[in-house]
Amino acid sequence: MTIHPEQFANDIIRAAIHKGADQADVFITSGRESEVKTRMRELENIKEAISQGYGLRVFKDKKLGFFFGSNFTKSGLEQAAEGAVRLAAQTTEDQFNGLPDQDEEPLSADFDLFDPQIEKITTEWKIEACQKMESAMFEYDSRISNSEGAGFFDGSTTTYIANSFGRNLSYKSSFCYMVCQPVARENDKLQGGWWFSFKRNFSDLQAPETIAERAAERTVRMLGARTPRTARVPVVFDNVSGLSVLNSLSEALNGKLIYRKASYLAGKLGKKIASSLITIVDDGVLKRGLASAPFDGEGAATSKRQIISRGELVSYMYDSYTARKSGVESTGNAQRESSSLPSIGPFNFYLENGEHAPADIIGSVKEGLFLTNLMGFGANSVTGDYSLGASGIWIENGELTYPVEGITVASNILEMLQNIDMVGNDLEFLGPISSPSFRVARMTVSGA
Amino acid sequence: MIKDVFSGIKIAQSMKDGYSIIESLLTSAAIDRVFSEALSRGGEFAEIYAEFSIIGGISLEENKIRQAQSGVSNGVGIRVIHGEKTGYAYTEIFDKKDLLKAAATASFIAAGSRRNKIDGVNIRPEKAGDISPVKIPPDSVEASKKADLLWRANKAAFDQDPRVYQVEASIWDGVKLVLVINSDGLMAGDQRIMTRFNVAAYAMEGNNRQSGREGGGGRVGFEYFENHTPEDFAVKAVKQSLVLLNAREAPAGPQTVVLGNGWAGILLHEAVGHGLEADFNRKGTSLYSGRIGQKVASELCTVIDDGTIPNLRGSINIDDEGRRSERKTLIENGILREYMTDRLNAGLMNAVPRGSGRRESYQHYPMPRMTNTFMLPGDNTPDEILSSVKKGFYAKSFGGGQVDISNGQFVFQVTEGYMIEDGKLTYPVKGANLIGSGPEVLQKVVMVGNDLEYDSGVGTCGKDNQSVPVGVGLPTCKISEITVGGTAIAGKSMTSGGA
Repeated sequence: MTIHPEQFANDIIRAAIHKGADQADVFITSGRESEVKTRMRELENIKEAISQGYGLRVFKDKKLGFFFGSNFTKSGLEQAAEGAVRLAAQTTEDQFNGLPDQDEEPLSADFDLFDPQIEKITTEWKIEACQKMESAMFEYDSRISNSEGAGFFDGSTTTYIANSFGRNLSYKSSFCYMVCQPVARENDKLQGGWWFSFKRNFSDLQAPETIAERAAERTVRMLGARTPRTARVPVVFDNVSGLSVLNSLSEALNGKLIYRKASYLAGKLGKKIASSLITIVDDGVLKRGLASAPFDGEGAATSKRQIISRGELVSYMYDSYTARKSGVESTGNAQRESSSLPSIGPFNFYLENGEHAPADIIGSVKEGLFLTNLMGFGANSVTGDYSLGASGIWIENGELTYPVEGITVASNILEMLQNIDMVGNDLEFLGPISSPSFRVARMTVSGA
Repeated sequence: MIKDVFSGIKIAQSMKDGYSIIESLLTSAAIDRVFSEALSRGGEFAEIYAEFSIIGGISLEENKIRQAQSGVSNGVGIRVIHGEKTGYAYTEIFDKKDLLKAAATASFIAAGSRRNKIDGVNIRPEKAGDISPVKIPPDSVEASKKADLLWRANKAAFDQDPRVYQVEASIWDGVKLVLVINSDGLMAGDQRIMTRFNVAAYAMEGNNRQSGREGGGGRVGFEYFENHTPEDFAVKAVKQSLVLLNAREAPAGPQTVVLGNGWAGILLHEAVGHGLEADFNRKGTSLYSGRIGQKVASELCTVIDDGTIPNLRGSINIDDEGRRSERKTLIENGILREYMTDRLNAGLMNAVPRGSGRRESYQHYPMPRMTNTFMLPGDNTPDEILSSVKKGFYAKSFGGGQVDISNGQFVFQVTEGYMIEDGKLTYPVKGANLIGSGPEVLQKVVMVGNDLEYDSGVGTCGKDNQSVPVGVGLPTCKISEITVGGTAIAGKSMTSGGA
């Protein structure tokens, strides 16, 4: 007999305590997801998924054990409780282990994270939206002759967290995501591209045609790309490549890397680490935010806080363990999925808008790179060393000239932060991490 | 019937419940019902993919066993194909009602009107193979024994050098039981065991901090550690962190590059592998589309994808469509020979499926993927290759990579690299990436070593949000020119120092 998640949450905590755990919490997600894809305007895939999972964390004698599963039956919860307690015995006692202090019940504020409309969208409508995207991208430019397809993805999830202090919290959330992936050809060379719209609410999604046109524009402008000479030049990150830099930065703010001196940001709290133009915010309570949540992965209240304030590093990110260990208050940054232990990460993490129009930033550059796409792995959290594959458009005398590929951009993240000398006013909440355009005064662009 | 599939292999202890569940659920009558439902709207092919999996992990940080965990993930996916269209649904509840519901959902990809029951499918069970025999299944080993390995790695790392200030070690292992049944009558199964060991070491000198990583594993059990000791991994990780303490900025711009053997095979994975997956080529969206029989690499390059090498991480007895794993010659002496095919794309391309249909789990439909991708060895010794380079860059260890299959641009990260002068390694450099376009770089392979080595068994490949374990391999190779993405422009190199 399958047990409802809310009841299951209570039952599994009780079972864990019964098996000998001193404390326990469980994180459960239960939801549905669907995907519809077309290619060349023809339906290609439909997928429907209903999925439930739980992750049980136990503390016994200050030791940590964890068990995850998807079997919501009495025997499933017995197996998990027994397994987690047995595994905890294999670990080392740690005085900082334990549930977060329970002094503050998270507010049951409504951040408008669930849109009931999404479940009512018909498959026919989704197929048509995908076909519209592909039609619009083909119409945009005759060189767009092929397609990696268009897709509509949506889902809704109920997230539950319960613990042995008697907390049992839940919230509902939804998402919808539309993507368009044109492939253009010129002189026998291909360029693929994409654009998307990703929202909590159906009514916030961009129109299929708008997504398609931006995808098409981003794709055809790369046709005829060449590799420029190696040079040290200003680099203008657009608001897409910019968010990738913020993503790298967010990893180094992890409180665990800080006290272990495994981050280039260790020892920098209260110091000016970036240009005064830089204010970065982590916002867990943003209305309709794609990473908003009323509570974090340990059931602690979320909040909005500055991370970098006019260039000064003012906060790291902590969960309860790392906060206790560091002798600070948790920032409620525990992120969690049902199949893993909590880890530390940002919510809606963004660079605040500056004052420049993106065109003015490009216009300020005599010779440099307008960077629109980053590839690969090359941001080192320990040292800040930064080197990634890149492509974009070369700037000469303030004008976008020809597309470039086959290059890398390299620097050190701390140097980059200090060297940001213009910030755009084009912040778009494209996903959990967002950024306006910005200019880094000088980076090494490796090419021919 | 299911008994016939698994009759030749020893079912791991943790899979016995799962085995009984599918055996009692997927009777001949039930299979017929599912296919009947799945094909009720006009689909021409239906498939049941059942999976039971258990994984476990233990990790050590800061001289403590920080956590021990385990988890199970079980489900059944139903796929229906109609022309180029795929319908997919899955359930995590193992009963007939939910299975039929998933079949009905998947059936809707074919929008035909409901038709009558199809004839029963004549199922032919195929006996499961065992190309990666395992002596000691990981689920039979007590957690405390695994923890001992972590303690040994921790001690070895700290003992090696006083500059080491943090050590992390972890061991992950799993067992997965897979059963595939399709409406063509195929029934095949696989038991897949995986073990992986990782060590990270952090070293400090003044304010200069660096890290090194080493790991290994594969389709192996606990016996793996008889010949691959935790101390070996720890020593290598520490060594890498120490080398980086003295590393200077990496050069920027084109260089002659020597790739060390082993994990550098990630070059092939990114530069050609993904571009040769059949789905992109069927759609004409890869730069290798329509180029079978053409020269796409230097004649020194013969590139193989082989899922049948015993105990390698990318090896599989059958793919996730139930087809036997194979060895495929993708590029032979520089000539493109074949794409990696799954059933759907092979069917649409008039090709034969070659055991490349893989998926992350029951939550996903399969697509063409790599297994173990490597280059056959050449004639030169590694010393000959190195000493032929007057000035260049030697890339020894690598991190992750990525490719854009439309324009062939690929990038991969060098985690340990050295400058070469007059055929000798001079000083180490840090923070470099290599970037190029697949066919261009492979045309520039000018020497291939006789020292083919596979990676140590840590590769995971992501495509369309699906991760699968893979292997790579490469002999030492010389590339006449490739762009190195460092920070130091010629003549302006500086040391990193402890400032």
